Amino acid sequence: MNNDKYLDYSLQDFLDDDAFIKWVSGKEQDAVAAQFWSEFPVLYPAAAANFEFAASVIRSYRSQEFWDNKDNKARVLERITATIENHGARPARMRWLNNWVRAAAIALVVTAGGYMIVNHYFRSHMEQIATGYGEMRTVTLPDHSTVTLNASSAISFNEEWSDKKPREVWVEGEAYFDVKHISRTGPGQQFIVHSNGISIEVLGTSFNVRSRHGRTKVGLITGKIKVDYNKNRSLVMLPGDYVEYADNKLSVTRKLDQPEKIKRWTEIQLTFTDATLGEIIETLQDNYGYTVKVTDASLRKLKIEGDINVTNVEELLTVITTTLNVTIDHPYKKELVITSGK
Amino acid sequence: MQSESHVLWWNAFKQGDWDAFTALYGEFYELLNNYGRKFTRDEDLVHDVVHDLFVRIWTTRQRLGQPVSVKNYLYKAFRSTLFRKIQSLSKFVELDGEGGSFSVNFIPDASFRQEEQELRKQVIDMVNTLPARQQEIIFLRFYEGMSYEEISGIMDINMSSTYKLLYKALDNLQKASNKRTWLLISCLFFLLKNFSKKIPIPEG
Repeated sequence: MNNDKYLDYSLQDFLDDDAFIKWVSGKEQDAVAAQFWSEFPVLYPAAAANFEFAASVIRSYRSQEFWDNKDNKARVLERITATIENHGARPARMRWLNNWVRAAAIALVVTAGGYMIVNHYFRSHMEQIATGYGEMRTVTLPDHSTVTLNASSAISFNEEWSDKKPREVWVEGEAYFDVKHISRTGPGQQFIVHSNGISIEVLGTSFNVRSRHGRTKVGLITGKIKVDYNKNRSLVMLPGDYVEYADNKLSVTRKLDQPEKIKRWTEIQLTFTDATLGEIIETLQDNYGYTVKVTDASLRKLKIEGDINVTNVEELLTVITTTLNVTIDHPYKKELVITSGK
Repeated sequence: MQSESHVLWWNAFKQGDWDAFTALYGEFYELLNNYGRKFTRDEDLVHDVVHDLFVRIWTTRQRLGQPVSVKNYLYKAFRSTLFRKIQSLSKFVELDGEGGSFSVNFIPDASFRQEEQELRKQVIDMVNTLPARQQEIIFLRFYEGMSYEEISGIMDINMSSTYKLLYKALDNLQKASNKRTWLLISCLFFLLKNFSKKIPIPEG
């Protein structure tokens, strides 16, 4: 890589250099090559200005929208699968839904410990779907009910649902359910969501489950659900009800003014109402994998009145620093340090 | 040049492994959607093309070869499928030239250092004046980080058509005037010029 040609490398030479382009656009996977380019301005100071300018031009161009169209990812694959099946070209049995989430699912099984491992290996034909940090996904269940999974969450369910058994789904993390009402008698009509020690029984409804750090919060938007906990206790929830379960107790029950708000995260990535800095930090850690250090614990109690609706972490940090008297440092990629004062 | 898993998935998929097929879908879905979006605002059209492409590679998998790059193979196949679709639609809709348009959506207020803001604005204005095919070259080069050979493979262009693109570019670029922009123009001009140099002339 040490080469005299770089001594007087012009702007054009850079733009014409495949290796340089590959590196600037983040496609270089070879560590040695990547290191060479990041040290380039030091190694060849005479060409440093041209190097920087070429890199700025490309970075400027790259500040463009990436249209990932994730919302339709499962649906388009379903269409592809259906077309291929109609041609009789697909092998008879396969699980098609969760392939590209396998890595995430495995990571989750490991972190969640024994309970999930039991689920994963001993239940027959279980579908496991998991989201990574900063990722969200909507999944259609075998009965065409839908579940929207928030970041760093997982659900599992049997891949075939019969009318002999209840429809059952296991949740870790946060999920919003929109359940199809099925007009049939018997156990197949039941729809049960299991999450961290409680079971929620549903009849055609939409609700939100959030299970983090041993606490499970359930908010009901429409319909009616029954929450079973501690083996023989239960509570029937009506729209707008919001309950919290932790340490074997159904501890908080309150009425939501606008129940719709608890599912706002399904439309906007980061959404808060009258949130404390502590709550925001929790979301950054749970949903985005950040490590957040606060120099003074009392900062966690600071509150941002009103609604925050932003699409990415960068915007969220801007909102925090403009509304609160704090400074946020970003020493490493996934690490934040929050200090009091500007 | 390409990730090992792409090769593994490709080989398994050709043997009829459905999991490998969906893995390929999972890997390239977003990239293909993003590329397709640059040609058209019609989301359903992009979905249709992704659908058609994956159905076709599954049904013809035994006849498929061993591409040097799975990604580039899919980009090329996606692109030609999209163009065929657009052409069949163009009986009813007027489109600007072969393959329709190509445009990039710049993030309106991406956070940049003050001194880079001005440059960024010029780059964007510059790029927006270029015709579709040249914008596509720049996208594949600066965004996807592809080599000249890869780009010519995907876009299926030969020397003479690149020359034509270049003359058009020159024409457009001359319209710009200010000095700093000229520096930029000379870069982009150089990019396109070298692009033509790098591609061997096909026989005949």
